Amino acid sequence: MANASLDQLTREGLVQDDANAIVRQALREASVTDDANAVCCGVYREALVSTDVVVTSRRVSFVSY
Amino acid sequence: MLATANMSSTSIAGIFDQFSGGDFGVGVSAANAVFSGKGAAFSRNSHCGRTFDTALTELMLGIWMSPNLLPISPNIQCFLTLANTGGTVASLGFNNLGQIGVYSAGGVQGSTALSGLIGNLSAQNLIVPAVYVPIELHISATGIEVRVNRTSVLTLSNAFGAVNQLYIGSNTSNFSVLLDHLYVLDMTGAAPFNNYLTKWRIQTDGPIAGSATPGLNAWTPTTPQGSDWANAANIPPNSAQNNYSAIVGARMSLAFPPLNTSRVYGLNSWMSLEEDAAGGRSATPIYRSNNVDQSGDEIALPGSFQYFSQNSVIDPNTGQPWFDGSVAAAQACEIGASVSA
Repeated sequence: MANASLDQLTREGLVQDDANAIVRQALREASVTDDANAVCCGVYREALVSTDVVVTSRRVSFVSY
Repeated sequence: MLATANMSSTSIAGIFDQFSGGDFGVGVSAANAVFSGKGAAFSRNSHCGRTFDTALTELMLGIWMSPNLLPISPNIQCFLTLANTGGTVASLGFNNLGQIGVYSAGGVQGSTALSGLIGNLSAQNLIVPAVYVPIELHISATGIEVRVNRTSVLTLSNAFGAVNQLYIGSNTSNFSVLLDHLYVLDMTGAAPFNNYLTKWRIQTDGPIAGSATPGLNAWTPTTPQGSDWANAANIPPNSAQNNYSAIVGARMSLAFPPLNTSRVYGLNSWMSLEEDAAGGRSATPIYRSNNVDQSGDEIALPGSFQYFSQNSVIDPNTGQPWFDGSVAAAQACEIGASVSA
């Protein structure tokens, strides 16, 4: 079982502190985790939409530069 | 849908993981945009690139491109390369006659000259200086098709290997290209798959209101903005004006402005997120259409602000693609996040 899963189980109270060393480590991490805020400072919607306009490329004739 | 980018500094910093060259960064401006918003200028061998999570045997993409000049013969100006672990699979380039071609060697990732033309060149005058044109391609193990201005200009039946990297930019020291409105379709979802979008742009908006659902504005806003949507609407983000919560299950759901279009192909969200203390706090992006939620992938929050994106091609309210629904439904979709752990 991965540490992340143990961490999750610990926070949900499904794993007790009498488990092995890895679980105790997860418990210690969980106790720190509970103090952290999730913080967000920007949310943007990017909508992939139709232009509704057919842009006609300007076709020009030239040979070379 | 793998990604969209309107070439704002937000989407470039969020999508791409490799950057090189002098003009990238300062080249992102409104003056470089096709329609509105911002576009990116690449010159002096500059590029940005992205390594995919998995190699793709088939993908479709589109990008708007405008060169400042056409190259002097026999040079070929490259603006896009699909690669596999650094090695070019297919590079798109154009010559002094405005012909576009697909090349098997060289590209923007190493600022190397193109060689190994695959098949034939397109007709002349498809690419002209200082004019944005939409360029799309579909690449697979059985061939490649290139479309310019919504018209097929090259169809090659050569076999192409899988690609796991996308690079855009300029491979030469003398010419620059403007690039905007990138979409990439990875063809890995459930059928029916998208086809060429043919008429597309990417509109980026910040939120204009909180959730219409009581209880979904549960993250605490800092002042002076004093509301969750106003804090999240700063473009670029202001890290001092933020919303926060340590309560698992707390929701932040935001409403966005109208979309002036007849079709919505998909939605993509960008969020600048962090955790403010060491630990394992996580957040999950959520789209909310007509009070029906669609959760994205859980994000293990980093210790400093980073951009995260989560796209949506299916309206959770109908179970059908946004494309099949109404614009009103898409523009009414709230976007936010939940503290998930």
